[in-house]
Amino acid sequence: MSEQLAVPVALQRGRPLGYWGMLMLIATEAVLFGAIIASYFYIRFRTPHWPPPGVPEPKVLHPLLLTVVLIVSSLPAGIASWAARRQLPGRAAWGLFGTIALAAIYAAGTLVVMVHAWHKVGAQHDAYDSLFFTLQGAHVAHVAAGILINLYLLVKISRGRLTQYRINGIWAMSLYWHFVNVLAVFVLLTTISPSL
Amino acid sequence: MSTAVGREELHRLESIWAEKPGLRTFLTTVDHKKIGTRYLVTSFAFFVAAGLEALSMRTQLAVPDAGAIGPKAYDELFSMHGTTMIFLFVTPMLNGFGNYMVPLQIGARDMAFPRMNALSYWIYLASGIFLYSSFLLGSAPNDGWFNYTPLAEKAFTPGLNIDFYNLGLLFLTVSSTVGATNFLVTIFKLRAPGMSLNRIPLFCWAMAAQSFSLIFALPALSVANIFLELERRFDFHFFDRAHGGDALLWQHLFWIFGHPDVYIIFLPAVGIVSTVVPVFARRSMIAHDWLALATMATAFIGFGVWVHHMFATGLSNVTYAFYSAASMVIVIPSGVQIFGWLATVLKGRPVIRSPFLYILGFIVTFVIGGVTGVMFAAIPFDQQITDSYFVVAHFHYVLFGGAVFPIFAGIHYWFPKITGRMLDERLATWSFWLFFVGFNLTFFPMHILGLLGEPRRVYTYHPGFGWGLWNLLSTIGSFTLAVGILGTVVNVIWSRSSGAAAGDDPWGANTLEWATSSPPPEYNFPSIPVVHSVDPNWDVDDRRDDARRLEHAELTLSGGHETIGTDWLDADIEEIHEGPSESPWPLLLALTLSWFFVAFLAGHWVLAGIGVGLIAVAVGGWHLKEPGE
Repeated sequence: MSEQLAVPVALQRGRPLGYWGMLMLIATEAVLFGAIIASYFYIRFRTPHWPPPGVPEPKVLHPLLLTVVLIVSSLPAGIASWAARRQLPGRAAWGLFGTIALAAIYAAGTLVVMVHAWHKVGAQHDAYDSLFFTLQGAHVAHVAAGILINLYLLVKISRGRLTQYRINGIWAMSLYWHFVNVLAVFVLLTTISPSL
Repeated sequence: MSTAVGREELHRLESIWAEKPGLRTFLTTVDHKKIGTRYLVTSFAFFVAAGLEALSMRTQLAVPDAGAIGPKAYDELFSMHGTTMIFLFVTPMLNGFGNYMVPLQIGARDMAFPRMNALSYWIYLASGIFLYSSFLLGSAPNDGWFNYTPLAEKAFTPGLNIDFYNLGLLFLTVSSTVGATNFLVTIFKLRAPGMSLNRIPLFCWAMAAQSFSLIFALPALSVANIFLELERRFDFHFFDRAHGGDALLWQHLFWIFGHPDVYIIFLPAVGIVSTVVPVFARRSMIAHDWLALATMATAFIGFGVWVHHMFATGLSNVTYAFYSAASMVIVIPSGVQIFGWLATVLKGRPVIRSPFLYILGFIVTFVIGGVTGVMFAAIPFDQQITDSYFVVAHFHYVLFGGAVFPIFAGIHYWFPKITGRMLDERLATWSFWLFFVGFNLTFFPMHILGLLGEPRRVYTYHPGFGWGLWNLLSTIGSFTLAVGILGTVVNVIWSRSSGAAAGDDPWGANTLEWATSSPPPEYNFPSIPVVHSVDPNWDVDDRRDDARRLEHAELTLSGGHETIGTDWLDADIEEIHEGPSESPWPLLLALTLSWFFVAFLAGHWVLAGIGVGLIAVAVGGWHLKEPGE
């Protein structure tokens, strides 16, 4: 055994620690959204009219299209991660740029939808509105944070080297990004469920 | 003995890892041992605070109709006592042991994310100060540690009390989540070569189980806190019936977190028991793998029993039957552990020393608490006795008995490792007996008081009820317990400078933290140990091999802040990880978070917005300097 250990060289390279750390963050975030969505349905099944009288049913078309845009952004995010791991900084940068652009469309569009709904009834009218705004707002906040971090990574690799640390960062962020996009589907299905 | 190569390697490791003493290092260190010690000291300070709160309550309750403390102060005292014990003492104290011992037990040089480790400490400290600053404003949380709605809604508790609670716990949750992530990645990715899954020390299993529970349980609490804060600050509606909400939603969310939290507290404590038992029984742990499995099983089943805190809320009988059954099932893994320890003690040749005394005290008290726990799983009994002192007696037997006894065992057991000196055994024995007798005298009478009908959370009682004698006994017990704790404090302070020298391994222990010097050097191990059994420090030949490897500069990793990354299953070497050294950013990020929470508490939205910006800047600054640069 010790003869093998004499040369402590990586025989099979594992995934970076940040990758595993990100998985844990995703697990805890999944529960966070799970708890909000569970609360939504918990209240819903205790309420005779959903949405309550006087509150318009949620729009379907715009959120649906926006979610499709967001899900498409998983593709450039995956390309960024793939390219970074193969030491292709140019393609990684383009991947990040594509992710940011699509996510920005989603975030801006969703904010418009939310502002629209806010002007109609606001979040303080009823538990229905509070849950809608909390869930949708939490998701947009996650997308916005993702945009900022991806932007930071983009600046770093455009102006500097593609170090192992940055590769790990891009890898972990792409994982986070896929998660946020899967989450978008659940958020969408929950928020539009009264109109289905 | 030592060759020139070995000496040169040690010298090189020393120059890489040593931190210059001084204020700068104090604020920027990422050494898991220093952070672990800070966790231990800070959480003990909160323990003292919670203890003083308890003594105040016991003084008030010593005789009927006493006037020492009014109802308002009493509400704040019991709320902060519970909140402190659960969130600011037991969990961080065990994290302190985990921080210090987990990397040593698995033969690593540091945690997986050293800077995040520093971050979780600073956030813990800041959120603790945040919660306690509420006393200065005269509005400490006052609706119990579980903070039920509708009482906690703004209409019924208009002051800042509950905002302190919501925001303080949200703040603290960041620390716990970061810490749990760190433990999991450390335990599964940084183990010494050869420490396959079935050779992980039971304390590390316990920390892993605790961390899993934290990852999956804490968000439910956070969602509850966020909902309630949105409701209090921005007139959202989640819990008030008048606007379509439901007060029981809080209870569900809280206990989905709250029951796993019982195991978050209990499992690492049990990990200490499983660490100490084989050492003092002088034999390998019987059914080691079963104990590891039981630890994980407890953590999993712990997620399926939360409704047993709500047996008196009028849910359906089918719901009750399910959760009652689940609550009984959880007895099985606990039983496996109890019998594992008992069998190990009986088959071994036990040596009774102070750490082991606390373990024996734990077994006695925990079994009593466990028996009353099974009684609660029977719903008719629960409905009869809920909200009485019987409940207070039960959970102090399981939590104080189940967690604080093992914590004191841990203090006595690991003190020599951390300081290089022994505690005074005579004083430790005296302290233990005062502790044990005081504890039982405090809490056993509460069973009787509960059966006699005394309700919890009430600041006084009528002399005609005949509860005076038992309450007086309980108060005498609480002061006896306090004297026992004081004895340990005196012992720790005195022995730190004047105790007998401990040597590397005073207990003849089986785990790897004892394979290095006491206190350990900054780099923990000169050459990363290689493991072939579940009791690596009893494998004398292996440890001799470690020393020999140093002489050949093998596995010394002297190229920087390096530690070995291994495969999670078999612990085969995968790669060398380069970790970061001192960094100011963990402290700065914790300060920006504090800024945000204080501004939010004050309701100053502009400052809170600036706080968010500052947090983003701190996160950016964190990544400016990369490890190895």
